[in-house]
Amino acid sequence: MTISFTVFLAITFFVTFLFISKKQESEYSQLLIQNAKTLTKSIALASKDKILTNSFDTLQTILDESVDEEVKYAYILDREGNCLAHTDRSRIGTQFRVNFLAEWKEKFSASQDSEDFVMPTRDRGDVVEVVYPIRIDAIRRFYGVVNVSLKRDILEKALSETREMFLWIFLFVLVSGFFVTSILAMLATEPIQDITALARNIAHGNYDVPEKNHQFYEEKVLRQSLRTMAGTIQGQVEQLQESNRKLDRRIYELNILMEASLKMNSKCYSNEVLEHILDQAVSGLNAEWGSLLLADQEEKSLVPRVVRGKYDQPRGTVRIGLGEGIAGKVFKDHQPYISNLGAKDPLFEEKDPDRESMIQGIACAPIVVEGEAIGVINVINKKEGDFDSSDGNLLVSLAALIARSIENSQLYNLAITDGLTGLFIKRYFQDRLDDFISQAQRYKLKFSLIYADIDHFKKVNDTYGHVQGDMVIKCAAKTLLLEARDNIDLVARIGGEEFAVILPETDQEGAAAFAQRVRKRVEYKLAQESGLPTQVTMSFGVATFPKNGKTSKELVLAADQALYKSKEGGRNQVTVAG
Amino acid sequence: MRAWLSAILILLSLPLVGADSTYLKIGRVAFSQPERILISHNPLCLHIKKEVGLADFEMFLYESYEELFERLKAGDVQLAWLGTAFYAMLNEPDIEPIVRPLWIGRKSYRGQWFALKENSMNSLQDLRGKRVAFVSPKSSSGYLFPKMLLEKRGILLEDLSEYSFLDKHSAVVASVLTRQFDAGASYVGIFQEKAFVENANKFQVLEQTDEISNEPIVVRSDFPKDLKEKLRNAFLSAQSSGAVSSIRNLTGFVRAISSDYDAVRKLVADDE
Repeated sequence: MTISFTVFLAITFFVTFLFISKKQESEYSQLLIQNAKTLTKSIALASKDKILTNSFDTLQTILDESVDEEVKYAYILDREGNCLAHTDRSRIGTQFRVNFLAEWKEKFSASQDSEDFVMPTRDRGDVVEVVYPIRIDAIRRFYGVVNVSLKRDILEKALSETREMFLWIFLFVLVSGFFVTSILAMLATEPIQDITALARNIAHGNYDVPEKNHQFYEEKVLRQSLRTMAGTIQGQVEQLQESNRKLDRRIYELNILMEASLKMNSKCYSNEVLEHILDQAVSGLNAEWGSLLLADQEEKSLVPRVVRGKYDQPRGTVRIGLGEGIAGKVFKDHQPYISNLGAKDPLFEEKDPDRESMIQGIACAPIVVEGEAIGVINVINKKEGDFDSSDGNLLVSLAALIARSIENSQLYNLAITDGLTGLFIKRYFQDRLDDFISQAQRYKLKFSLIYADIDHFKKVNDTYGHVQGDMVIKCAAKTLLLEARDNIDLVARIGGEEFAVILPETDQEGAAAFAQRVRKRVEYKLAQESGLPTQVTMSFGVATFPKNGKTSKELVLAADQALYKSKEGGRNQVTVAG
Repeated sequence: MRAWLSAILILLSLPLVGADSTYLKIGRVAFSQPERILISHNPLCLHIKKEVGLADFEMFLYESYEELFERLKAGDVQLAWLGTAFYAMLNEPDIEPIVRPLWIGRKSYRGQWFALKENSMNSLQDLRGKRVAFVSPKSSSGYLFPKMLLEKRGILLEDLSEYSFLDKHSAVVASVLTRQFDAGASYVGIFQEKAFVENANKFQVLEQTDEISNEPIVVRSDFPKDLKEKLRNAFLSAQSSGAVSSIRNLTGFVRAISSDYDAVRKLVADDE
């Protein structure tokens, strides 16, 4: 662009130069003629009085003082053609044979005034000759002429100087034109570069097209179009991102659900499963913490069973009445509830001020098993933003999983637990004992096995009936469960009034101590709890792996023999296998 | 010898006369701006051309009476409007006056001595030891006649403290008015000139000279007589035709003869 413009500039300037040069030549020529006329007239005016008074002596002086080097020659003639003064003094006094004198005599006598007179000018190649008459128009008298011939080379010299100057100007304009064009080109491409950069930004996801002062209208239109395009793309990208986000969320939810489902497929229902599902809910909803409350039908309240996240221990004292507060209402209505008002929510009822004061958002879904609510799952304070319907949906799905888990667990438990006591049945006990032995062998662990038996149960049964006997059994089972560690120790009913307890990671002493605690509790409390007027006691046999047996059979035998010894020893005692 | 030689030259340069092709020239000294003189005298020239029946009658100007007289003798001009004193000094028998002008109706004029009234000078005797301005040594009214008058009163130029020639009558008046000189000599009537009329009452005229005939227009003695008469008549009729009105103060012409200038000749002779 710059080179094209410069070439264009050069051609334009050259053509202009030719035109101006020609014009200048003409103007200079005119100027030369004008100068000649002026000089001639001034000599004529200075000479006039001298000619009119016929005093020619000073004419030569006037002529000499008037001409300069630009004059090739000059002379003054009287009207008869006599040379009165001449730059070439040798011509003074000679007769000039000039045709115009007679013509001028005629002309001036006819001329009305000086305005009609056109100063005769002749361009004779090397000189420009001007003749001016000395005359008195008022009386139409003609007295002589002044002739001045200016050298034409003055004109040539002036033209040459002008051309030289023009050439320098040409060079200057050419160079400056090149630079100016370059700058203009830069200025013109700058908006294009800007817009290219903006387009590149849009391509990289930056849709901001800032306002800017526009140098060109086209730039303004381009920017507006780009802004519109960026807005459209941004909208579509956001829609796409939203769809992706939803899809991701859905995949994430599915993953969570799958994870939870996998966990749920475990053979038993346990806190571990609930904790896992609650963990998924807390992380899936990006919440601070979550809790799972199960209904205690006897106390008509919801009791926190599992807490995960920021807090991981339930407050044992917290009870929420069925129908009270958000959880109670969700439980009662079987409908999920989402609130981002926290404690300001009208349904909110403060139960645990320390924790609840920090509640800003809550998502709560019922856990419904076979059409009946058994609890609720709460997720508290979303870390970023508010809980929304998708959070609610995920929570409902997780709640359904929990429900399913519990439901399955209940069925399984039904199969592996004793209907009277809720303790594991003998078959399940034996399976687990094998598991414990395998793990203990693999990991070099030790555990203890306790066999327990209600003393003289047949007598109780016979004396007070089976119902009362069952009550004694239930109370004995309850006592065992009370002393057993949740989710660690395994308590089973392996016969009518016989029980077995597996105590992982427990040596003989620990197991003996456990047995003693149970024995004493039974001794002091069982009769009262079961409503018997007489004391009820239990005997215990303790065996420890691997000391008393390295197989289940050996261990069971050792525990059984120890129990037998307790029976033989007088009952209501604990015997540790030797 | 001088007169004889002059006559031969005059004869050689005589114009062809007596026909419409006759072209006569009258010479005059350029007493002011040449173009203005030529323009103001053009009606008179046209009048004479017409009255005499000439092909042309043209005025030529010269810077001095000497040059003019030379041109007359050379035949470059056939008529010459000479000065009174110059003509008297020439004492040339080969030229003769034909007319003299009437300036403001007067065929002669006077010279005068004047001073400012404030100088309290009443007679020429008061000029002793004073600074005096003259016009020129050849001016009749501006030098010759006033000087003669002064000498009549027994006062010589040496009795003056200082005297100068200022070339023009107006310059003499102006120099006295500006007190560069105590007194001056000029023609009578100059105070009525436009330049001085406002200050005319400031001047005290000390004494006037005798009458001096106005300057003659002369031709050479060999000029054809009939043409000379025609020319004289043409000049004399100029007043009635209005041809003189363009020349300031000129009111006509009267016939002039050589003896009109005898008084001046005598004066000049005494001066020499």
